[in-house]
Amino acid sequence: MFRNRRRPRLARVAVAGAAALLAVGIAACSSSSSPSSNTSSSSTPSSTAAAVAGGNATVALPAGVTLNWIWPFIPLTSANEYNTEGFEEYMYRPLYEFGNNGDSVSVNYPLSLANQPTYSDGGKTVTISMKGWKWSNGETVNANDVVFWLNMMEAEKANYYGYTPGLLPDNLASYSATGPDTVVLHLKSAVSSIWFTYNQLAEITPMPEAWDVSSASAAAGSGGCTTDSAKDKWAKCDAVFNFLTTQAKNVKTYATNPVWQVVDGPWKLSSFSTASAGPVTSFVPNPDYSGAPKAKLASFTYYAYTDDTTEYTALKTGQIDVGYIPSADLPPNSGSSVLPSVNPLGSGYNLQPAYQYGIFYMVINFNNPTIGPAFKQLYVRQALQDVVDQPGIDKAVYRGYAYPTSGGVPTQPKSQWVPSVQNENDGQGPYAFSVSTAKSLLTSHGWKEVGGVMTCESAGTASNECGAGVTAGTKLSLTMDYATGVQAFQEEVAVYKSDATQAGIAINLVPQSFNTIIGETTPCSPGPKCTWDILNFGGWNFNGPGFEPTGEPLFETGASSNPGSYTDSNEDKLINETHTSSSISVFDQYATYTAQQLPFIWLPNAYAVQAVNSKLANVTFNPLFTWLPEYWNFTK
Amino acid sequence: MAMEAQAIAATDAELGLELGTAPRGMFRRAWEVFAENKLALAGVAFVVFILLFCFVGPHIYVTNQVDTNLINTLCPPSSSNLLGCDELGYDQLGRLMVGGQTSLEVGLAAAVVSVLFGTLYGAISGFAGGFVDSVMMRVVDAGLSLPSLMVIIILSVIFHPTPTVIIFIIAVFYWFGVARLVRGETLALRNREYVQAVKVIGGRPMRSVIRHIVPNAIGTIIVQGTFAVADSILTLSVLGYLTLGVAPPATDWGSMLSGGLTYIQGGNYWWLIYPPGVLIILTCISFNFIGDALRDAFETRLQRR
Amino acid sequence: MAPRKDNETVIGFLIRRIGQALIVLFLVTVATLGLVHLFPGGPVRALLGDRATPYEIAYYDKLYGFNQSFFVQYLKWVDQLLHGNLGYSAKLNLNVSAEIAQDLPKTIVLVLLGTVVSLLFGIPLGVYQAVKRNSVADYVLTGISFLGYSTPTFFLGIVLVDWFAVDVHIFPPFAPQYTSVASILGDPRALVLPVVTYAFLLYALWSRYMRSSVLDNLVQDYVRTARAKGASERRVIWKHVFRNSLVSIVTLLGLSLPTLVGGAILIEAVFNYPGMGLAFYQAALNVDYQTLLGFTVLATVATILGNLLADVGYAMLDPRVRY
Repeated sequence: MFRNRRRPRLARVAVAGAAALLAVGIAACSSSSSPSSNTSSSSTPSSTAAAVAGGNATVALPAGVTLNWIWPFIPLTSANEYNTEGFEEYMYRPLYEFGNNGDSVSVNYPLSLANQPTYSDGGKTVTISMKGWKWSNGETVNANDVVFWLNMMEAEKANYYGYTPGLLPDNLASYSATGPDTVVLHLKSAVSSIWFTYNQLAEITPMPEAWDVSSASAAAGSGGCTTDSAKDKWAKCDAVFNFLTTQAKNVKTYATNPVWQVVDGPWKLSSFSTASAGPVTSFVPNPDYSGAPKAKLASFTYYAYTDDTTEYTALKTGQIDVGYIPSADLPPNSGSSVLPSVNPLGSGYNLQPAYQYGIFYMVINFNNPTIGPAFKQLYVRQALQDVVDQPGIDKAVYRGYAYPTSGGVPTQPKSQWVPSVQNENDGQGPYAFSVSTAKSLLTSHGWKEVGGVMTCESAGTASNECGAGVTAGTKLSLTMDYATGVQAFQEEVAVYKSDATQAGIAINLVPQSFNTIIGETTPCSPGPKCTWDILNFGGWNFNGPGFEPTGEPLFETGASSNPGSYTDSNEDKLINETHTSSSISVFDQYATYTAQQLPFIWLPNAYAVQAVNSKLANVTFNPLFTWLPEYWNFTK
Repeated sequence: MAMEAQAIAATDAELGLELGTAPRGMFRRAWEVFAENKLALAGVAFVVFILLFCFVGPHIYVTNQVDTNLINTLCPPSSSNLLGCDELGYDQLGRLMVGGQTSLEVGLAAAVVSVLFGTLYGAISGFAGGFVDSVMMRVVDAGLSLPSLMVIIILSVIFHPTPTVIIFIIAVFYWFGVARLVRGETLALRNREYVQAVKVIGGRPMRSVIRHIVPNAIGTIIVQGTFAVADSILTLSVLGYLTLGVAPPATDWGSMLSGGLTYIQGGNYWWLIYPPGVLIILTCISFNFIGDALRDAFETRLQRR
Repeated sequence: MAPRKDNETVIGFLIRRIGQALIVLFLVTVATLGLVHLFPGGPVRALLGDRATPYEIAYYDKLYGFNQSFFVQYLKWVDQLLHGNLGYSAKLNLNVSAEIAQDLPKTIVLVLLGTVVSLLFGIPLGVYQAVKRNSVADYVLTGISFLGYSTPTFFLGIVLVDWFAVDVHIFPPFAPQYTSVASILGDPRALVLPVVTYAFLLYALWSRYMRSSVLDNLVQDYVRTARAKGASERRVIWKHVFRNSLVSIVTLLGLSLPTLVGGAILIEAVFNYPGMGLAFYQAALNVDYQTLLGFTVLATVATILGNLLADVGYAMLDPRVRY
């Protein structure tokens, strides 16, 4: 999902609405399976201490976050990873689960509601067999529940945040339940099994028959959406949608409404409020959960905070069991370990790093009438990247608790998706920080420093000239709109401006509110209205609804989250190849090319330092945001 | 014409107001009262000091306030950095001077703009009276209906907060109060005998406004202006705290304070927190002392009438 | 504030005031809706985030009526308002009235307590300062109250938390974290720091006004008369001067009613006490126009009521103004 800068230091931040993440095959594994480790590679110590059943764990929500949507069929207005992975998924498991109680970023079949899907017919047919788990009202999680979801997607495309025109459900030729526990999907064209599982099937959450109603206390299934079709223009599903949406809009009844009490996950909601401070949400175990492990805690409660300082104060005064330390309050990291050498909270808490499986960047406007042609030159982008002092910013602004972004694939945790080129230069990728390199790149292409600002002197297409479309006299004087609200971010752009100036690139910083910048991120066609130069507002996390770090939502021509209108036919070709091929070398080609081509300018990626009560064991911070409190337990 | 002027002069003299010397006499008396107020004098002294500190200081204590210096982040006070460094390596003392320039400039400019505009608006409204006054005051009421911070936040979110824009944003919320006060003064003054007398004699209305109303309201105007400076500096600091302030590498005391406060629990970085906070407080309090003394000074004069 | 004109009936007075109020309400809401439309990309883009495809943007534009003209949108909103519906915030998934019901009581508690505390100190000390004008005590108290005028609230709040809650655990570091007013009031220790921070600024206001008002009254003819008649100084001050000086305080109290809607934002932010102020700030950042409009209406109504109360109080207290 898209990732905004407002709460960068938290494991749970970032909303990357990756609807269509291309998955790439893993050559090292067999053709149909991808490794899913269920064993908890938990890095919490004290998992050997005697476990105690029961207890209430208190967990801090990131500052400013409020949970406000319970129905898994979530619209764009409410879509963020807190509502999905941090709330809904405790109660309503998705068809396929990703991540584990460790740092895996792969699919997790033991925790999923269905077995591994089988692909046949050259990748045009997908067969899903359900495991037969139970809903808390006695129903079985069966094939009809999947069809119910798919029908709802057909009926209300615009109201599901994961929808991208052309992809699920548009790429389905037909689908049906061929048995009580079997769903068969026929696709319009052949696909890669990895991609389709990771990025398309990942969008499905089976819904119980009890929800297939269009009025309260109607009989389960009477809504008729599960058997609806395009013949009546999905009218029945629309009616069910309206009913369920009305229920979802009534936040006061979340904990009491019988609709929401039908769960198939390990937890049930016991209390809920939309207050922005204090205890806001509590969960208790669902005794009818069919999976394993079963919850050991008696309950856990979320606490909300209005800002980082107050959350940290709560940690310091021992009011919460699981929280994060804002980076301003961390001792500077010497660099040898990812955690501080001195624990500012003392022995009552254990510290853990919490990575987000994503990338950070700023976007440049290729369609800008004056500077767009310059941006289209790779050496100019290289110069812009060369003046990003990622190591310096990591140390100074983020106190050492950050690492560079080096391309389109996240480099933490280490995975098979990362191309070798992204690991060069100590993790900076092909273009390391060097003001002198930036300068010489520009001067060797016909730019000259005039009044401190690089100006194009030799226009033309020869190898020592500025490049096609760049007129003589063009100045590298750029305006960067950046999102206000986070102190560290403001410091980061100040450093960038300072370094860029030394290379002759003038950056004019314009602070804007986050939502104002979002307003500017509509890709624009070249013209007088397309005048922004650089937008700096966040990044992208590959944590739902798709989980494979491919570039389709970001780098493909016309992609919805490609505000700068980057377009490159080779990139498009490589992206499309990863749609259909499961080979790692195909993915590697895409990833390497992207890292070299700099469609965006990469920026440092901060990770959070989480603090866990030393008496609470088996708490981990999966980079995909998959939180599994059913593994947690208190110790003596 | 000459006869008219003579007649007016005669009326003024009867009332103890000299046409040519009214303003000067008023200011002299006001100054006497002002000088009695020790706090106000201390305030003036501090304002002079802070102006020198911010505008002359950087020429004496030269630091680089443009380029970041990531090696030196958060350095404690030492002989090379008298007040230590901030989170990006800038020398803190030098930054206080540069930040002070922005705070003072914005504060003074916002005060001037809001007072000028509010005075004109209020005087015209009060003098016109009737329906025009009613409509104009409804607009002022509308503006005063919203808590000022709300207006400022919305405006800061929409418009890029460069210092110039911030000046106008702050002025926007402040001029309503000035307009209302000046209108009140105008209403009171236009019923005074000498203004009535001018009307009777047949003098032009604008003459009354300029010759009699504005000089007599000027006490209020100056007082409001002084308070406006203090309030504007405070508002700017609030904007900095809400991260709606100026963009780097420019800074102001409020942004410095806000940045420093994020480190309050992470170690003993007192030089990031107390110096900007104390400077804001002392500067505002000085202007407040001055304004208060001015108000006493002008009111005393009024009371003797 | 427009006191009653001579020979105007009570009904006429009320009608005139209501008319004025409606005009103000109109101006304010038009301005707010206009401001919202100044956000680049429009409210829908901000609502949906950058993932929105043109397909979804078109769908939501139609759903929320953003594709209609400003005039039509305004009328629709007015119509909704007249039906008692303050709007629905899609961003928060809450009705605006539910938001207000959740946040307003908390802000009221904070503002009321802060006002009461500041009045308890401000009024008597203001009178004292006026009586002992230009003494050392007067200067010291003036200094203190000016400190209240000049200290940024957030600075004071954070420093107090650091000194009295984190370094030394006398008070908790936040305001009460409960949602019900009863529970909030049941945790007085947690209320001390936020109320003190809020009251510090207000104290300055009351004590200065009281001081200058008493000073004004002390030179009036009726005081001289009372003294000539042989009344003791104390009687003069407390029976005559004080009562008249209260007029300005009452006026100010009435005018400060709107602070209930958004005035305490900094205290709320520092002490983790989400009330109307923080809600408004979030709504502004999120371009949550339904919330912005709803809060604006509330603030305007509060101002109008406040003015009315101020006038009524003024009439009751000032013997020279009689209806």
